[in-house]
Parts: sequence; C-alpha cells; structure tokens
Amino acid sequence: MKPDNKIRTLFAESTVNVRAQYNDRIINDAFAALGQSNRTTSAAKQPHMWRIIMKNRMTKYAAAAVIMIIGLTIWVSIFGGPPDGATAAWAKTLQNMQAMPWLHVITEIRLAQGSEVEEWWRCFDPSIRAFTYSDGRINYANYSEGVGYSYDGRENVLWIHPVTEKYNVPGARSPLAQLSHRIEQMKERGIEVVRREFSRLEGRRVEIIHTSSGVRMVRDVERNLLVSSEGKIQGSPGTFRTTYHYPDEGLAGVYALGVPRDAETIDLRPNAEVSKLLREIQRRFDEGYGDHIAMVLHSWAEQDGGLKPWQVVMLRQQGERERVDVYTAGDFKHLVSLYGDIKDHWPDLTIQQVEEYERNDAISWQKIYDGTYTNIGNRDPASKRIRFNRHRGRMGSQGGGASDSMSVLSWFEPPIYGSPRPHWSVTYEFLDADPNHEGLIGIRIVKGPLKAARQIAESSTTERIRTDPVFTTSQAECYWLDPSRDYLVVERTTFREGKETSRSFTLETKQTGDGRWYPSHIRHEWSEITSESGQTRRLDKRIVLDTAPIFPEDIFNADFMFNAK
Amino acid sequence: MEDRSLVNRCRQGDRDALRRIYEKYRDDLLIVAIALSHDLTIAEDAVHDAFVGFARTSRNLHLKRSLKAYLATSVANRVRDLLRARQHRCLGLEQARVTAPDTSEPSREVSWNERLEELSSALEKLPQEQREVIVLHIHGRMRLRAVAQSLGLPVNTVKSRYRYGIAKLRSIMDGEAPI
Repeated sequence: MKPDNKIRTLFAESTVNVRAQYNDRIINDAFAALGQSNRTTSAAKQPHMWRIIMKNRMTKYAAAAVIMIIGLTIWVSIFGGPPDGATAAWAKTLQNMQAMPWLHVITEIRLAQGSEVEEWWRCFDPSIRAFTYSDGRINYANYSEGVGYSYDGRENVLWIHPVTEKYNVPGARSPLAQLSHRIEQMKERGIEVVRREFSRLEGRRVEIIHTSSGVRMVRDVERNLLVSSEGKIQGSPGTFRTTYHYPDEGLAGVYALGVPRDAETIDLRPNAEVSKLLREIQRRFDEGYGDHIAMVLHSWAEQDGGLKPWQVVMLRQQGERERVDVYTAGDFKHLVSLYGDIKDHWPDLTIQQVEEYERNDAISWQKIYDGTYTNIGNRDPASKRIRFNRHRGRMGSQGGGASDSMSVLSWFEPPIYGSPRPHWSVTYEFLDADPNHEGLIGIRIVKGPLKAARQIAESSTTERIRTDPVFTTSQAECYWLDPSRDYLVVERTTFREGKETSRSFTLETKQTGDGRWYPSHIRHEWSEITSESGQTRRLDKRIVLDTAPIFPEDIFNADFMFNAK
Repeated sequence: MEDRSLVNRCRQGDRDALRRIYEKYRDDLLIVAIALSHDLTIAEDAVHDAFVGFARTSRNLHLKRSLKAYLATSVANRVRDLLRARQHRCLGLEQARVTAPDTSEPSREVSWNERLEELSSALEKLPQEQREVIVLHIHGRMRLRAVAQSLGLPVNTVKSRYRYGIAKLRSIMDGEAPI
C-alpha cells in the first residue's frame, strides 16, 4: 500500500472517545463566547481582558503568574522583609490579619484595553469568602454553613448552592499553610526588598516597601497590616493597585454586595433528607479504609467473556499519605508493560505477585501525596517523556469512576456536584423503589443547562421528555447505594441528553478484617455516544485490598517518583 | 450548504447551531490535534481554544472556504502555538489540575484508539511544518493550494513539504526508521 494511502486509511480508522465533561466545558465556554460576541460590538472589539484570560486555559497559565506576583507582594509586604528567616514574625503578622474580623481587598488591574476592578472579602471565623467581578458576577460562600450564592448580573439570576472547602479545594487549606508555600515561591523567584522608607498616611505611620520585582507596598506599622500594594504586572504592560481594608463590620450577606432583591433565585441545594444521605456518604468517603494497599486490575472485557489486561493500579495509603501507581499491563507493541509477567495469572493475581512485578519503566502515571504536596508524574506514551507537577495540598480525586483511591471506587464525592456554572442547575432526588434494586437507596443527580433544558422540555411533544429531567438536561447520574453494606455504590448510571452513556456495576463485595465493606469486582460499561456505531466498551476492575500493609521506607517520598518501588 | 446556514445562524447567536457545528466536527478536530501534537493535553486545549475562538468571532466570520477547513486550520495554528509555549512554560498549579492519569484512562476527557496512536506516533517523527501540511491535506481534505493559503506559504513550498513528509513517512512505515 502506498504510504499516503496507508496514512489515509489510518486517518479513516482513527477514532476518539470524548467524555461528557469535555463537551460540557467546550460548549459552555463557546456559548459564553457566543453571547459575548453577540451582546455588543464594542464588547467584541474591546473584550474584558481578565474574563477572556480566565476563560482560556492557556492564557490562564500566564494569568496565574500575574496573580502569583500579586499574591507574593502581599506576603512580602505583610512580613516586611525578604523571604528568608523571620518566619515567626511573619506568622505573627499573619495571625494579626486573621484576627481581623474582616479583610476586604480591592484590586484594580489596568491594561491597555481598559481596567477591571475586582473585590474580595474574607472572614476566617466563621469562614466566609466573597468576590465581586467587574462584569457583574458576584460570589458569596459561607463555608461554615455550607451554602454559596452565585449571582450573574447579566442574567439577574442568583443561584444558591451547597459549598465546601473540604474537598477538591486545590492549594493550601489555611492562610498559615499558605505561608510556607509562598515563602518557597518567593525564594525561587528571587524576590527581595530593595528599599524601605517610613512615612505617614492618613494619620498612621506606614512603611513603604520597594521590592526587586518593582512592586511597592505600604504597611501600617502600628497595626502591622498591609494597606496597599501596586506595581507593574509582570509580563504585561499593565499595572495593578490593591488596597487592603479591615472593617469591623463585614458583609451581612450576598444582598449586601449589590444583588438586587428582585433577582430570579434558583435554589440548587438538596432537601434535608437528601442532605442527610449525602452527609452519610461524605463521612464514609472521608474515613475510607485507613492504612491500606489495594490492587486494581483493569481489563477490557471482550464479547466472548475474556479479559484483556490493560492496567494495574496500586493504591497505597498510610495516615494522610497516599501513593498511586498506574502500570501499563496491556499487550502493547510500543509501550513497556507488565504484560509478560502477569498474562499467565490474569486476573487472579495477588498483591504480593504484583509487588514483585512492579517496575518503574512500566509506570504510566503516578501520584504521591506526602502530607504536604501532591506530586504527579505522567509519562507521555509517545515521547516517553515524564511530566511532573507539584501541587500544594492534597489534590482531589479524578472522580468519575477512576481508580485513584479506594473511596472513589466505593462511593462518590457529593461536593463535586455542588459548584454551579452559569445557566446550569443541579437537582437531587430519590429514585422510586425498584424491585430490581431491592433494599437499595436510589438517588438521581441531574445537572444541566437550565434554560436550554426548559426550552427542550417545553417544545417536546413527548410527555416523558416534558416531565422527566433526565431526558431534558445534558447530564444525569443515578446511584443505587446499599445501606446494609456501608452505603457502597452498587450501581451508577450516567445519562447525557437523556441517553445512557455509562453504567458501573459492583458485581462482588468483600469485607475487611474489621468489617468494612468494599467492592472487589466492578464492571464499567460505556457507550460510544459520539460515534455512529454506538459501540459499548466494557472495563472490568478486580480489586484486592489489604488493610494491614507493611510499607517499604520512602515509598511516600516524592524524590523517588518513577524511580523507586 | 448546511455549514453556511449553521454559520449564519451562529452569527445571530443561535446556540443550537453552534452546538451542531461542534458535534459535527469535534472528532475530526480532535484527530487533527492529536495527529499534530501527539499530546492529549495540547490536543484538548487546542480544540477548546479553536472552537471557543470560533464562537467568539463568529459574528464577523465570512467563510470563503469550507467550515471544516477553517476549523482544522484554527486547530493547527493553536497546536503550533501551544507546542511553542510548552517549550518555555513553567509547570504551575493550573497545569496540575488538568493532569489526569494515563492518556487512555477512561477518566480522561478524551482518549483515542490504536490506529490514531500509530498514526500520531509516525507523524511525530516529522517536522511540525510537514506534519501540518499532511494532516490538513489528508484529514482536513484541503487542497494543497488551500493549505498554502491558510498557512501563508507559497504553494510550491507546501507541495515540497508534503512530498518530503510523505517520503519520510514511507521510511517510517516501512520500518526503516523506528516509530
């Protein structure tokens, strides 16, 4: 075959599989961009830079650097010195800030295209955080009460939704924990104070601090609090000015931020009964299985019932520390794989066997949380290069049935449904009792484009579509939980546009020595909704759990990623 | 005809038309992006950015060629930018957030089959400029003259890139060069 013909054939036979999340993200961003494009001509010609930056993932990276600089200046100016030593004094100043009833920060970013003003409020006790954006959006979250408000001024709609700062909150969980991280970053960037001078401002003695990054800060000496910072935005011709205020009286609520009383309100919080169930799941998810090592064997289930090895995932946890190793186990021509070692025993392997077979060059993905940082290594299957990322704090799980923790395999994380997006709704409801799910509790969580869903439902001639949210929204998940077995998820079904896209069954469960249930055999099926063929793929997961593990030294040490057993 | 109608509707802010365009070309664009980059993160971002860019500019868009060719070229441009940017980009928190397990792990948003793996592995051995011409010509179904216009290059340059690229692929496919 001529090479270009072969290339044509390869292209013709190439397929991709796309998950609903990816579609959702693009469609929503595209809708937002379309709306922006159509709202006003001037808006299209002179866009809100900051909004565009934050909508675009790549420019976000650059923006993150800008934000980082601004963030760093806070710490430099707060602590009034270069980022080395004097940590106790810094901590003292930070404690002063935290002791303030409220912190109110106003940042003006001036770019060639115009300026943006954003405001931020923070109260640490109770934990409340609020933002107002220059495009009319307002967010207010009372973490202590678990309720958040998101207002979109363009639509005059206020969403009320559950919030948490416990899960999937990247980064340090407290300002004090942030401190050490910021210090490290400042050291890495070589930022230092180059000049200090004292003056009086509005009757207060202030210290004016000039840093090597070109940022100037003003500190209230007597109260030892930051008053303002300003300077050029690195990598941009723009400038920023941030002022810090410490009011005694904080925000009375979201309406105090300017949300009109007549705004349409959409309450996305689950009712009390559902909340109780979600708290129960959350509690078990948090507790997990304690110290353990688990082996998850991933196979492709073939039509004839055979199991084709694909991946071996090893999950280890000791205290707070976690390690995930994903090994290639398929019969791949171009990838280093455990296949040769495991094929004769598949899928009846033991943890001890796999521990013998584990080898660094067969790892495709690895995560180590060492108690402070989450370290992730990802091997590109083509170039074989490994990309490392380090993230302050514990990264949330990948969710969606991934095998990166035993809790993810056993339950789900309620907070992942808690964040609303503009025009999206989340509803929770119990499923009717079903003889095919005897003794189980069913819950359905529906996420979808609120207005689009309404339009579809209203225009449909089918009663079922008009009335059933599953058939009128873009995404729904149904869970059947077993209350007699620690509320394990026995079945999970996802829908998109009313069409079932994936289904997970827990086919077998076992108990640990102390009586906790866990899934030992899961079958995951999903339909290729994006292809004409409508094929169904089946992934089989066999799980072996040992809750009395003995770990080699340094196994949770990130210095040995991709380089140690 | 359908594409022109869809684009016209997009100009009026019709979301259904935008969704229809996305659903119609998403897979092709992802294949183009994966073939050009052999990197899932870049491919996902390139298609995202190209499509959101299309939505943003659709109001003033007057197509002179096929919509698929327009979108494929946008994706190719974006892949090129992202590959360049990756050379000197620091790994940051945002990147950590988008990192996920293995490229073919179901928890990823996008995965591909073995044919595309073979294809993108082979194409990765070619210089980017040859890769672009081959992918846009074969999968984008663009004439070489149209590819030249899109890339702002002389037709002869594009033709020679295609010729050299195919010749190198021949050696790769025939096993003369390792994939």
